Amino acid sequence: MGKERLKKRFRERNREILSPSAKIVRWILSIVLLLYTSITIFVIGITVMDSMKSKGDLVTNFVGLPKAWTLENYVKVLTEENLLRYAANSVFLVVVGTLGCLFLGALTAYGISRFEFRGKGFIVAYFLIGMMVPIQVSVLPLFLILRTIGLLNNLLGLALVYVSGISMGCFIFQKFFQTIPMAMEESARMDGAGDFKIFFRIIVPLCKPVIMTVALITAIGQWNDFYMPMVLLGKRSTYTLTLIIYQYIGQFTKHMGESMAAVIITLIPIIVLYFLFSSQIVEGISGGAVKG
Amino acid sequence: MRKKHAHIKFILPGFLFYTCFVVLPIIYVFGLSFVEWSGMGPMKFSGLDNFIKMFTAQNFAPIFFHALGNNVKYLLCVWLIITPIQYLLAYLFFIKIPAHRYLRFMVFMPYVISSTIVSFFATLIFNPIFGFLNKFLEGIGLEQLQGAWFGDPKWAFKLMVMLIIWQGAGSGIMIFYSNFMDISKDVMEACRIDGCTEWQRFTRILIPLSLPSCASIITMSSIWALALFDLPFILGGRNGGVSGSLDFANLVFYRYTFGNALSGRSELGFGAAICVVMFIFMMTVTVIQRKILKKFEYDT
Amino acid sequence: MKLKKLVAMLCTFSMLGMLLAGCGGEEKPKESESSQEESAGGSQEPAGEESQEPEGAEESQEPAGEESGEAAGGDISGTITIWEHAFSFEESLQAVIEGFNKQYPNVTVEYEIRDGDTYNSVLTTAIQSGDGPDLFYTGGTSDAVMGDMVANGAIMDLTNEVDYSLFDESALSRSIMDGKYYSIPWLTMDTRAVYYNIDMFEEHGWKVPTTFSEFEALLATVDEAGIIPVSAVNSYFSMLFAYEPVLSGFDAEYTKGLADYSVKVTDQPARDALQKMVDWADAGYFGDNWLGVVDGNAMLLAFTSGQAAMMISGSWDITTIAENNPDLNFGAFEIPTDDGVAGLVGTPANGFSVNAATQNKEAAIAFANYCASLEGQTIWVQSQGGVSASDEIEASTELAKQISESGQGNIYTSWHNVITNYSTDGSAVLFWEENFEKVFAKDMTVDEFMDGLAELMQ
Repeated sequence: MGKERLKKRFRERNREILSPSAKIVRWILSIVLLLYTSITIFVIGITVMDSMKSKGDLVTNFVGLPKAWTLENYVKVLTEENLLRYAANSVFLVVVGTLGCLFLGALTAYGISRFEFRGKGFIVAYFLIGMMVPIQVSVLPLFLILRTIGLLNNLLGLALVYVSGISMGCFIFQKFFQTIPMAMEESARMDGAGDFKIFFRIIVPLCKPVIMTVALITAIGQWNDFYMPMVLLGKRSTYTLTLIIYQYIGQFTKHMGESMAAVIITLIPIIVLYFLFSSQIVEGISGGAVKG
Repeated sequence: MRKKHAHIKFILPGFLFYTCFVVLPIIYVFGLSFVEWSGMGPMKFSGLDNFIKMFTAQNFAPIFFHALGNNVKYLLCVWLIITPIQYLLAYLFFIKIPAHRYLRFMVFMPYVISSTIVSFFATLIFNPIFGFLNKFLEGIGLEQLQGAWFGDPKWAFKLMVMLIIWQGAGSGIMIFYSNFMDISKDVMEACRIDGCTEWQRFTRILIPLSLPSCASIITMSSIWALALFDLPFILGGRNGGVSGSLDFANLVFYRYTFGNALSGRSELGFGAAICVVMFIFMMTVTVIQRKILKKFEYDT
Repeated sequence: MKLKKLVAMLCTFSMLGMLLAGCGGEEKPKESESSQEESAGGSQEPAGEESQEPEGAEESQEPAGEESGEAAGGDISGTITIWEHAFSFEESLQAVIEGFNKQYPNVTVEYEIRDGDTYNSVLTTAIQSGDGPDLFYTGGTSDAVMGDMVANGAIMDLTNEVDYSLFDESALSRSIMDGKYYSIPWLTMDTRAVYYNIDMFEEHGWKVPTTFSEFEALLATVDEAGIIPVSAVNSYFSMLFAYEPVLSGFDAEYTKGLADYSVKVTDQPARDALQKMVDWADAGYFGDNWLGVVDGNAMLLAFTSGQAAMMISGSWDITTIAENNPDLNFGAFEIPTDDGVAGLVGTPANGFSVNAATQNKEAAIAFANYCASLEGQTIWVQSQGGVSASDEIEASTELAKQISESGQGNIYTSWHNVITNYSTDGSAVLFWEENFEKVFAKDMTVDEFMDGLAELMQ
C-alpha cells in the first residue's frame, strides 16, 4: 500500500460530510460528556486546593478556596518521607511487571490462537482462571511460595507475581490475533522465516494499539495495587508509593493535608504518562497501518 | 510445513510462570476447602462439611445467597447498562465528536486513580454530614432531597453502579475503541461511498466487526462482576452496607476467611469453600456465556 | 504430546505436594523444638534474671547503671524482627527500638508494619511455616489468635523470662493464660470517652452532664439547636465503643458485674441500654442520615469540623483529633450514672509476644524485657499520647489525664471482652460482628439480637 495514497485517504475521511441534524446531535452529546467529565475535574481540583490549605483552614473549609496558599504539605511529604525512593520501587515493579506480563501474555496468546492442537479449549479456560479468583484468595499461598524461594520482602518476588498475571492480557491478545489474516504469516513462512521471527517482525508491529492498551491497563493496575505489596513487601525499604498513600489515607484524619498532597503527587506521574501514551496509541494505529 | 509442536515453545514460558504464581495458590486454596483449620496447628480433614454447612447453616446460608443475589443483580447491570454505555462512548470517540480528544482523555482518567483514592473522593461527595452533595442540596434549598446515600438501601446499589461507571468503564472503552480503529479503513470508506447512513454503518458494519472484542469484554466484565470486591468493601464496610445492600459473595468470603482484624477468628477452610463455590459458579456462567457468544460470532 | 501434558500435570501436583508438605510437615519438628526450648528456658532461668538486674539498677543510679547496662547489652548481638499491626504504632515502636538500642547497641532490630485485616492470617501463616517474626503483636486473650498459638506451642512462655514486676493483675489480664504469661502489655489504657466541643458548649451555655438524665437531656437540647449531638459511624466496632460507655452510665452495678461474669451480657440492662441508643438514633441524635457514615475518619471529621457537638469513641483518638484540627478546643468526660458514678471501660492494651521458634532468643528476650521496663513503657505510653494505666507513668496529654480523672478510679470490663471470653464455642463474637449493625438499621430488634447472642453464651 502506498504511503501517499493512505495519507490522502486519511484526509478524505476527516472531511466526512455530516448532515446538520447529525452535527447537532454530536454537539449535544459532547456537551453532556463535558459536563460529566467536569466531575473529575471538580474532585481533583478540590483535592489540589485542599492540599494547599493549612490544617485548621482545611477542616472547616473543604470546598472553598484556601485562605492562604501554602506548599507546606508538599514539602512535608517530600522531605519527611523518602517519597522518591518509594516511587523508584513502584517504577521498578511496574516496568518489570508490565513488560514481562506483556511479553509472556502475547507469546502465550499467539501460541494458543495461531496453532491447532488438542486440548486447546482446556488451555484457553486454564488461562482464564486467573481472572476468576480475587487476589485476596491467593495471597496466603503466595506468601508461602515467595518465602520458600527466598523472595519475600523482595521487589523481585512481587515482580514475578505481576509477570505471571497474564490472564487478561492473554485473553485480549487472543481475540486480536484472531482478526489478523493468516495469509501474511503464510507468505513469510514461504520466505523461510521461523516462528519467532514471524511473531516479532510481523505480528507484534501489527498489534501496536492493542499492546499499548493492554500495557496501559496492566501498568495502571500494578501501579495502584496496594493489597499485594501490603502482604508481600514488609520491609520499609521495599515499600511502594501506594503503600505510603495507604498509610496516609488510613490515618487520613491525622494527616489530612499531607494525604491530599500525597494523592496529588501519585496522580501526577500517572496522568502525565497516560497523556503521553494515549497520543501514542493513536500514532501507533496510523504507524501500524502504514507498515501493513 | 509447520512443525507439529510449534505452539509449545510459545505457550510453555507463560504456562510455567502462570502455573507457579497463579494456579498453584488457587489449588492450595481448593485443598483447604476440605479441612477445618484456623491457620494454626494441624488441619482437620472434614470432607464436605464446609460445603454442607454453607448451604444449610441457618445463620449463614441466607446471608450467602443474598450476597450471591446481589452479584447476579450487578451482573445484569453489567450486561444491560455498563457494557452498552462503554460501547456507545467508544463509538462517540471513534466518530470524533467535538472535543473528542479531550473527552477521551477525561473519561478514561478516573481509571488511573486507585480505589483507595476513589473511595476517598466518594466520602467527600456522599458523606451525609459534610459531603458536598448534601451541602449542595441544602444550599439550593432542597433539603428534603438530602439522603444517607450509601447508608440508604434504596440508593446504595444504584450509586455504586454509577461510581463503577465513572471509575471503571475506562478499560472497556479503550478496548472497544482500539478495536474500532483496527477495522479496515477500506471497509469504512466503501460504506461511505455507497451512501449508507450513519445508523446503517453502525448496525451493519461496526457492530458485527467488533463482536470479537464485545465477546471478550463481556466475558471479562462478567467475571469481574462476580469477583467484585474493592468498591463495595470501601463504600459499605465489611458487613456489606445497610441491610446487606452492598453485600457481595467475595465480601462474605473475606469476612469468614480472615475473621476480623480485632477479634482475630479465622476459618480458612470454610472461607476456601465459599471461594470454591464462587469459582464453580463463575466457571458455569463463563462457559454458558462463551457458548452463546460464539454462536453470535458465527451467525453474523 | 500427551506425555508432555502429563509431565506438566505431574510437575504441578508435585509442587503442590511440596507446598502442602512445606507447611504441614514443618510444624511437627518445631513443636518438639519449642518444648525443648521451654525446658531449656527453665534451666536458664537464673541467667535470665541476672541479665535483668543491671537494667533495674540503671533506673535507680543512672551513671553506674548505664555502664553495666551497656556491658550486659554488649554481649548480646544479632538481628531480631518485630511485626506490628497498624501504622499508627510505627512512631512509638521506633522510639522504643531507639531506647533499646542505647542499652543493646549490637542488636539490630528490624520491624515490619502489616496493616490491614489480613494481619492475623499472614502472621499465623508465617509462624506456621516456621519463619515468623521474633516478636509480634497479638490481641492477647481478647481474641483467638494468641490462644491458638499457645495451644500449638508457637509462642514462648515468658513467665520466667521477663520481669513482670511493673504490672498489676488487671494490666496482665490480656497476657495470661492458664497461669502463664505470653505477652507484654502496654500500659496505655484502651478506654472510651465522650469528647465535646468546649467552645460550642460555652457559646450555647451547655454544661458537662453529671448524671445520665442530664446527658440524655443534653442530647435533646443540642438537637433542638440544630446541631448534631453525637457524631457516630455505622460500623459495629465504632458503635460498640459508644455502646459500652452508655451502658456503664446506664447501669454501673450491672457493668461492674461483667468483670466476674456474675451478670450475663444479654441481661435486661444491656438490652435497655442498647434500646436507648436505637431510640437516640431514631430521634436524630446521631444526625439524620448517619447510617450513610461508614468510615471512622468521617465520624471524626464531623466532630472536628464543628458539625457535631460530641463524639463517643476510643481514647486512642485524642492525638488524632488534636492533629486533625489544632484549633479545636475540646474536652472529654465519661457518662455518669444518675448517682453520679462514672468509670472507665476498657483494659490495658496488649503488646508483643515472643516466637517460640526465634533464632535469636537472647536478643528477643532482651527486647521483651526492655518493653516490660518502666523506661520502655514510658516511651510507648507518652508517644502514643494515650491514657496511662499506671500511676508511675504520666500521660503525655492533658486530655488523657482528664479522662482518667473523669473515671473516678473505677475500671469496668468491656462488654465485648466478655462476649469473646465466655462464648460457648467462640462464635458469639462472629454473631455480634454480623448482626450488631442490623439492630441500628432496623433489620433486627434489640431482643432478637440479644436472644441470638444469649444462645451462644455460657
